[in-house]
Amino acid sequence: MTTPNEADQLALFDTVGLGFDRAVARTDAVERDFGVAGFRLRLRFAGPALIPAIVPALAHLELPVAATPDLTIDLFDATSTGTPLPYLAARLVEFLRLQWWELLQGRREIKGMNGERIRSVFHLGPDILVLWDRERKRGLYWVERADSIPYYEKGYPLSVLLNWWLGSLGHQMVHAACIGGPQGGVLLTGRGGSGKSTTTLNCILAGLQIAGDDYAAINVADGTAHSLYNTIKLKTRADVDRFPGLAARVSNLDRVGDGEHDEKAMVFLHEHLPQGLATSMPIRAILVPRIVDRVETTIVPASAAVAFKALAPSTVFQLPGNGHEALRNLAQLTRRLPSFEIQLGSDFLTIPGVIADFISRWQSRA
Amino acid sequence: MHEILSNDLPNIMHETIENEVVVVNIDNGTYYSFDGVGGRIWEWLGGGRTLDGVIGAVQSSFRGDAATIADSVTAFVKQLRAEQLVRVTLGGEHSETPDSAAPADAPPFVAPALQKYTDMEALLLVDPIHEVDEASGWPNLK
Repeated sequence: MTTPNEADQLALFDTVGLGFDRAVARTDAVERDFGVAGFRLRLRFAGPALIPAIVPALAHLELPVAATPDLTIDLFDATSTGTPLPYLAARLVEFLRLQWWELLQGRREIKGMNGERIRSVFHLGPDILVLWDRERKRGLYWVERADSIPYYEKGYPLSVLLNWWLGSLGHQMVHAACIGGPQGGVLLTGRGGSGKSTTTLNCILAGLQIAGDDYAAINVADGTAHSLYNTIKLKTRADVDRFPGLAARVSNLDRVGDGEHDEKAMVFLHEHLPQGLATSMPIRAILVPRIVDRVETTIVPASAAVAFKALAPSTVFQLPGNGHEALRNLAQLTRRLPSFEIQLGSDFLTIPGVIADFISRWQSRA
Repeated sequence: MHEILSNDLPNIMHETIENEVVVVNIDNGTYYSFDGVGGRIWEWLGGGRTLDGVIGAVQSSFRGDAATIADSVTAFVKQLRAEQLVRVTLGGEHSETPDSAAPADAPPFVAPALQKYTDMEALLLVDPIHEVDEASGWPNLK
């Protein structure tokens, strides 16, 4: 068995791309443009079925369709378009479903189908096939059925493609919340259960803005964070109930719960709290949250290594791509920015004030 | 033939932040950190070294009892091997130059310690690639 080369990878891309062309021939193509980190992203849908799953989280970035995009992503599903994937691509998907443990790498990359030019992943379960051609500035996003797209993909859609694409343009996607305002903000990064999500929402309700509750794109050269998604996610129903009036704004309330298979609560801020969104903000510091057994919240210096360990592994594991380059970018970021631990006290209504004061102090030093 | 140890592995990524080395195994979600002597050992393993070569390099760079250094370094390297952070190849001639004793102003030897973090595994373990029930499919976990 020979190792696939770039021509093989390109052949796969073109075969799936042919599937999109066939789907568009049977439906109407719908184009939507978005401004992402100063670049123009065009989503071209074969029919309307995938739009409600993909667009809401990006809606705050939407632009009128015009000019030449920097990336075009073609999105299609088999069921609503009545168009199966071309035979060879369909067989590959079948093999991926049956022998995923042999054909996929740990971060869902299709073995042998990732190189300098072409990248590919297969998201087993919802069975989403994603490809990117760096040279032709084109992405492909295929799923068998639109209704199989899971809630987390609706909250943070196309993250793999955006990571590949933005990485090629000098931007590093980070797994962190970005809190502050257009004049300056902080990256809040930490493992699940560290209080990141409730702190973020708490800050928005207190008048601060975010450029992301879980992901943002950082310009590696100047440290500016750019918004990707207007989603905010809370883990449990109890977390939702801490914020009066929030339940009515949760897009998936009927499926939220504490069980293993329950969904996390998602609110699209663009619809309900657009004033809480900033398109971009210069990052002044990294905060690593820790819940402490105290009333008050304080911010104390931490080592860059602590910040790096909070930021880098989860970013690299969740976003397939060039892990070495991502780790290097994140190391550069943590070396450049001051790092702190935010010790979250029980009086959680005072937390936004502590963060706002901290940001204004660091802003004045910038 | 000698066993040459090297940390040059495609699935192992590392960065040094404020003298602390953070090593990430991209395949299994585990990451590690160490500093001081451990960081220097990691640096030397970048170029490929025998265990004796690493011990000699530590003995010539840090002040301490030679036997204690040999035991600690051997234990640390054994841990690195057990965690599959280094690979072993068989080399031909052993060409490393003999090391001298550490100068009087060298830093004191402190036994290297490998910190292991497994919190990322939780992310991967609920990933369908790793835990999906093959009969009933996602989202039914094994």
